[in-house]
Amino acid sequence: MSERHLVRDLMTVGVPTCAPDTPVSELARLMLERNVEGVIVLDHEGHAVGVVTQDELIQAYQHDAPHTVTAEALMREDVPELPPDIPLIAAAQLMRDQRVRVVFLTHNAAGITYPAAMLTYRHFLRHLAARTDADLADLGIHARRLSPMQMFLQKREAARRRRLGPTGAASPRQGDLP
Amino acid sequence: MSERLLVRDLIGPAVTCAPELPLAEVARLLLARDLEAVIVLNRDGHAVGMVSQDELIAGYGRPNRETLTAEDVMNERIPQVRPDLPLAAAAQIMRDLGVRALFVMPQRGGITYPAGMLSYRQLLRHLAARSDEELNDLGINVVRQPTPRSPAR
Repeated sequence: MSERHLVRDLMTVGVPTCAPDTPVSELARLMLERNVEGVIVLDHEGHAVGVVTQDELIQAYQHDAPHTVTAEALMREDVPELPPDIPLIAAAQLMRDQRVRVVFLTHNAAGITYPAAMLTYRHFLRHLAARTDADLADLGIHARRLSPMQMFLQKREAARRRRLGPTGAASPRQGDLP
Repeated sequence: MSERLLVRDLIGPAVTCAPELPLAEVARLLLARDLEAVIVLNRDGHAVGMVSQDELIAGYGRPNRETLTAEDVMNERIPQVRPDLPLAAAAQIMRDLGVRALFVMPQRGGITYPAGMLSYRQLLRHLAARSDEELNDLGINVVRQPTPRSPAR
């Protein structure tokens, strides 16, 4: 098994996001279905304004109607961050010290800074549990990922399928992009 | 959706492991079953500690992690909860203790055993549920499959 020493070797590129008015019930569903530890809250301009982790979500129980509290009411505004080029062992220690189970790695582009990748406790468990390097093939900066164009095409296809139903009344014509 | 549930209405089974289980196997168990923690039982069936994700991450940072076992990293203080507390109180206890799982640990016949676990996952299930039916597999009144009888001798 090839050695993975740095945060960038294990992190997941791409982070889950939500709108400020997302209710607790929807956040909880997202966390369960996709095993997500934390969701970045984006305002309507696409700026990251905070994060709701499972710890914040459980605080909904301190409200009178926990299911209807929104992301904005629960989020913490200081998004926990780590640089991608520190050793994993140091990252594990820093996360324990800060009592956070998810940290984000930010990316700068066109004057804005946004969370682009994340490292969670689950990544460390996956690393501990891995028998071969293939078990971790979906993690790290070298993981195979779709290009933005491929992702766009995939989403467009999915939207078309939803609109047309499973039988695909309008099957792709000859010459269409895959 | 009922908002006033008690711990016993949502509790799930507690999973246990042997003290000599290697760290990698504990990690596989937690991942495969989406667990927050397992209880370590000794040979006599006594609960002697807990390995949660926190203990595993602490073990991850140790230089000899390939040789560590559940016993080496476990926390001997098992966070407990009474089954008749409201969920909001259980959530507050978790926050105060800094843990994500609480155990119901009755004592019978001189041994303390883990009868059930309430973890973040059950609370998330409750927060995500659209109707009570979605939670039918949780709680003290859940319909359990009868244990298959051993074949007649």
